[in-house]
Amino acid sequence: MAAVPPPTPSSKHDILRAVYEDNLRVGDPAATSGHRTRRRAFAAPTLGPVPGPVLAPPVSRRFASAVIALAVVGVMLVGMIVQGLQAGAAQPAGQSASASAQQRGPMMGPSEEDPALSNARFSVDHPESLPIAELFNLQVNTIVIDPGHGGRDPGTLGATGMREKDITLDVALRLRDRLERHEGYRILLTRETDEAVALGDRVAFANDRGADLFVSLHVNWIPDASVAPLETYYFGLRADDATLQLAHGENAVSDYSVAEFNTMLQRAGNTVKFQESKELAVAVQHSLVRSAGETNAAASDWGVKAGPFVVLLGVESPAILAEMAAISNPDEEARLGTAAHRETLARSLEEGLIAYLQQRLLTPTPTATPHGSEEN
Amino acid sequence: MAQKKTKSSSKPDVLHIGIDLGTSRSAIVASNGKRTWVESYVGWPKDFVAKKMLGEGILFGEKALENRMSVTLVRPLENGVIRDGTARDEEAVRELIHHLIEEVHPEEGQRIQAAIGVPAEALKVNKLAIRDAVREYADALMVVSEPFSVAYGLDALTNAMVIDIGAGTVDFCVMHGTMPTEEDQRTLTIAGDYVDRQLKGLLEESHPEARFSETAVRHFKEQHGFVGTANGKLPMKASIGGKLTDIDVSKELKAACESIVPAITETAIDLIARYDPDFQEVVKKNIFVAGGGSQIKGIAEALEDALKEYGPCRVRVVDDPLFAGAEGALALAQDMPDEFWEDM
Repeated sequence: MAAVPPPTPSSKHDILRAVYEDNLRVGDPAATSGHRTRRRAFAAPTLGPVPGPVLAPPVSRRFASAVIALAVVGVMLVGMIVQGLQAGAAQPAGQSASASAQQRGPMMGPSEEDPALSNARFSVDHPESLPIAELFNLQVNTIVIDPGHGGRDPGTLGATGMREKDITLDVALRLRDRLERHEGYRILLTRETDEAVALGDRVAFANDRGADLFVSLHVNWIPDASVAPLETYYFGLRADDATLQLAHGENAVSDYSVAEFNTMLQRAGNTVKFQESKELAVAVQHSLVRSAGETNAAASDWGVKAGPFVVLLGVESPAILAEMAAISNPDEEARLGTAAHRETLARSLEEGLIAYLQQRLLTPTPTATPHGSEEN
Repeated sequence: MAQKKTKSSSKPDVLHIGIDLGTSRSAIVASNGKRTWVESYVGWPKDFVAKKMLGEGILFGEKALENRMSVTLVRPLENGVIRDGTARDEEAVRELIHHLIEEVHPEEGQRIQAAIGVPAEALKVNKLAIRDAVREYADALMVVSEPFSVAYGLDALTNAMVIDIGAGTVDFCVMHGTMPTEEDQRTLTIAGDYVDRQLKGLLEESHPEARFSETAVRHFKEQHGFVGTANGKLPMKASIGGKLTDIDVSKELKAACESIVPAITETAIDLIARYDPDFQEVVKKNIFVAGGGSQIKGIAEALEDALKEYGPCRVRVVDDPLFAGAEGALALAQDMPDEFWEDM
């Protein structure tokens, strides 16, 4: 590495100016939107989150995260989602449905019940009977698997010290091996080692490589150790009918891949992403629950949900985030320590993905056996 | 609450505060002379019974830890960073900051201008979340990295390196007369929590019949942690078959504390080596160790010994390590020209 030239000391005033400018770069949604928050009275009673499906993330944080992510998605989408989230931001935080893993519960509904997300949708819902990807014979070529966390970020920790980042990586590697048996797919991982990868870099990785599907793998943690919840997230906004019909007429025999189609469709809203993300989430969740029910009596189906995860927002392709196990459940943690169980998880994810692809007619004809033998 | 003579604010209508938001402990120092610290734990009663029993809707620090069976305990900067999308961690940061600011008793209507030092990783990842957390309780805010705030407080703005050994991370920062950029900083995740895990693992290996709680192990390390030569036996109480028994843990404690020295040495040299040789020589003679890890007895000497292999060096532990970051942040807040303070 080349040596850095001798530094030039600057005055304390210059350093303070640099601190000021550095802080200025953070951006301040409230300042620009004119919604400055009043300082809370210090005598006010302190109300904190309680266990269970109650608390939502701070509205301003969600708003800010959405704004950052939307810069990636595109100008049109920015307009729509900011509008929606701003509408959501007007509500008390406690009424919002978006919550962290520690605070969400089985009764929290999917996006349909979330006013913030509902407001972020197009005004006209797209009928379920018109799946764009199927109608236009879109193909899936590249599947990006995203092992959550890594490097300095261990993710959630089990009681015995087991780290989420290790499980997600191991399962992702196994899932890649399994999916590679199905001819016609390019399977990529956002990380293949224990390294820190920023969310923005994960998004860029998927987008730069033309991902057709994006699957982010995570492991859940909740305060109640007796339950092992399974849940799958998507960021889903539906297409308006008019856009669908227009695209239908002009692209009826298209051989575009999902990624190529997405690029074109962005100006009218990323319909494929929002429509297919939910379908993919349903298929994967179904497979995970079915498999978990065979091995863990504590497994609980917390369903498919929409959530404003940055990584799901930024990726241009259909994207899901699967909480495929719960490390807070002692039995589940013990099982996660075995290669056999991690292989089972990989198989469940594979089954969910293949089921989705076949159901949506997005898959090339497999030439390999979808469900290979167990590897331990 | 401890009080210390601090440069008083020239404007009584403005209260300057400096906060060190740490993984393990958080401290605050205000221009009205008040200062305090708290363990960075926030606890919410698990149910109404717990709430009634505790008599409070939220607990902080040691009190939250003591009642950990009755509360949902959150350590928001567990690994030196607020995990993305974890609303409860963000809520805990917000409440922690609220609690700290309340502890220095700002007057009604007083404008609060705050500077907060945070772990370097949190500065990169969570600056926006931290601004949101403070927004309700302060009028204007500057967020800086912890080692930089320590350096600012020491007036070690050039020809110096600060090694801030925290619980979640060890942050390195080289000062050369400008605000440090990412190239001037490094972060290691092998830090205080890592030492705790090492110690617990070693103890369980040496004494499989005994049970050691994480809290007890951490407290023992904080009280007796050392590197180098042991001064006799170090008995620690452990439960063996339900009976509290003294066990000599000096060997395990020494091994656990020394386990972080090679990584710190290697990282320090790696960071220093990217500068011009002349500057390297100067910096190596002006290294400050801060953070909770600086209280490991003999850590400065151990680092100095290890670094001597690369030439003459001098390593010192900062005075008042518990408040060094907060004092530096306060100094920065007080020095910051008015035109640089903008309402949030």
